[in-house]
Amino acid sequence: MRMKKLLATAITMAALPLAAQAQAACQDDERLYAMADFAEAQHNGAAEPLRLTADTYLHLTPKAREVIGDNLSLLDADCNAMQVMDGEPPIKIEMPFPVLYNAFEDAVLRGDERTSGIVLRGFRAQPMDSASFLGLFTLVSKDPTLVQNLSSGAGISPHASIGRKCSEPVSYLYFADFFVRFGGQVEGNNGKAWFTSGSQTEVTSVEDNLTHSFPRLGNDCHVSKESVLSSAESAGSIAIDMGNSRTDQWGHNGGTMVNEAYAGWVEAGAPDDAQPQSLFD
Amino acid sequence: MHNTLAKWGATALLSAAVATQAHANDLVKMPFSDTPMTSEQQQAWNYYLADESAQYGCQYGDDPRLKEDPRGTLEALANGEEIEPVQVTLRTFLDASDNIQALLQRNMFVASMECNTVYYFDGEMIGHPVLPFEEYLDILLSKLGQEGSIRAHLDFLRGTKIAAIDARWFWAFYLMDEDHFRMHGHDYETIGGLAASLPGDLEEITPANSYWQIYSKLFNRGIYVANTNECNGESAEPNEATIIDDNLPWETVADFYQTEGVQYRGKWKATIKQEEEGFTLADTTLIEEPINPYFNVQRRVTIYPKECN
Repeated sequence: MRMKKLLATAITMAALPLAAQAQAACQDDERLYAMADFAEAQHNGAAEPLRLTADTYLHLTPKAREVIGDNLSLLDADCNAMQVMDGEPPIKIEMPFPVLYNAFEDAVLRGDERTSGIVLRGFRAQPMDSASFLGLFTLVSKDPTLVQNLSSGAGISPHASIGRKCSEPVSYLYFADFFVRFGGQVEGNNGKAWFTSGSQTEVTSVEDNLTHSFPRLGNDCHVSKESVLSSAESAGSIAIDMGNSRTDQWGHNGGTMVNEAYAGWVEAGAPDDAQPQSLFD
Repeated sequence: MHNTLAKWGATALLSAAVATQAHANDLVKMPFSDTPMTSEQQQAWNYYLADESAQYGCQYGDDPRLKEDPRGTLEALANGEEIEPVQVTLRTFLDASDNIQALLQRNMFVASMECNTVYYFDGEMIGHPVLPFEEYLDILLSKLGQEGSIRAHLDFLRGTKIAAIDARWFWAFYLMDEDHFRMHGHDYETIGGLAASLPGDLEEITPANSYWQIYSKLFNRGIYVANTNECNGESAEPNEATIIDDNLPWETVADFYQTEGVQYRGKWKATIKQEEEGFTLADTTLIEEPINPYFNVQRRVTIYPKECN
């Protein structure tokens, strides 16, 4: 159990940058190494369309966007080329979440609203399995200014910390919140994924039997169970609050009840509209 | 005709570039060059750069061709020869003369610690390079030397990030008393002043925390603890020859760990060596087969990776 907990965290910690690199295996046009030559050819009307990965396309500077214009083929996650219109993809393109998040954060950092808007309008996060999604319950940042800028850029409200001794409440966001904002859906083995949390500061992916500790905010402030479960639900999963009694936890009675409910749900054909929360009312 | 002119232009560019900056030492700026750091300390930092970037699948630094054969590489660029794109660190690029920059831009990309490809076009970067703290700070201080207002350098601040670093590398190189700032070629007035000028929570700025405040207030990829022991804790620490301030009190490191959310167990006890030598960190026990050759001693302190909390 302990190892599974660690594994889930390790996967997440490593996944963001590495997955972004995987997309880069789909290569950019080599002319990017000598952009001045391309700009000159473009000026002379002699440039073939520039082929860009989504990662590079989402890091173009306003000046580069202006020079390239629509003479650009965008490579999707499968390396299929797509012509842009008015500088943007004509339909939503599905990309791995890390590519979109990194591009969005970088655009917000440099105050590039055009690009952050393109991420939201022109792209959608690829579906993610339940074990990987569990790792997205990690804070995007502890820097309050960055959290504020990211939330206003994405048009989502940050969560507020809880805690009786929390004298200076903290606003926070999970990577999971951005996955939801980018239209991502979590997938379970039987359709919907199940997540549960109870009296312990942890969330569990039921079918994977994987548990992830809540991130820490410090100064006696804590993230709330509700913020985790609501994000999980918004990502299309079934989210179950086991309750707050001592035994309402994954390693105790709560886990046994959730597992039984999950088995019953699978036996019933995994209906999309199931309300297993009623088991705990 | 166009090609002839282009070749002429390139030849002139190359001649001018070579005349102003042809030696490898001129072209490539190494970490901590022009500082009194020992060669062991410089090697240790190079190990950090190699180790950190290898985790993302590349080797950070300037293209070896720029060190081994700068003239040949520049000639190849000037002649438009088909060569692999040249990896250039941002500092090397910015320190280069205009002519060298013009040649490099014929086939280059900017190095990044996270191995993301960063292109360069017309004074701007396409992509965000992730830079080691040492290089980031060097570039920023150089820019502030030209124009003192931090606001004048927002493009740099917003367009780059500081690389992640293991907590032990950080305290070994960047926690120190005022006397040791000279090891970085800096003084406390400059570094403390920079820390104070950056927006963010205003904690009391001290010599011990001023580098750390700069790192924390700028966009960074975080301070972590490498997990080499399946969450059983890491007791390997930097050896004395690597540490910049070998009189560093345990309390300073403990405060750093605490604020960074690094859980720890144990403490050092400063060891008095000889009266004239002052005291040193603590008695150390050598680790026989260290994972990191520069973290090869133990001082009865164990720290835990954040993900193991």
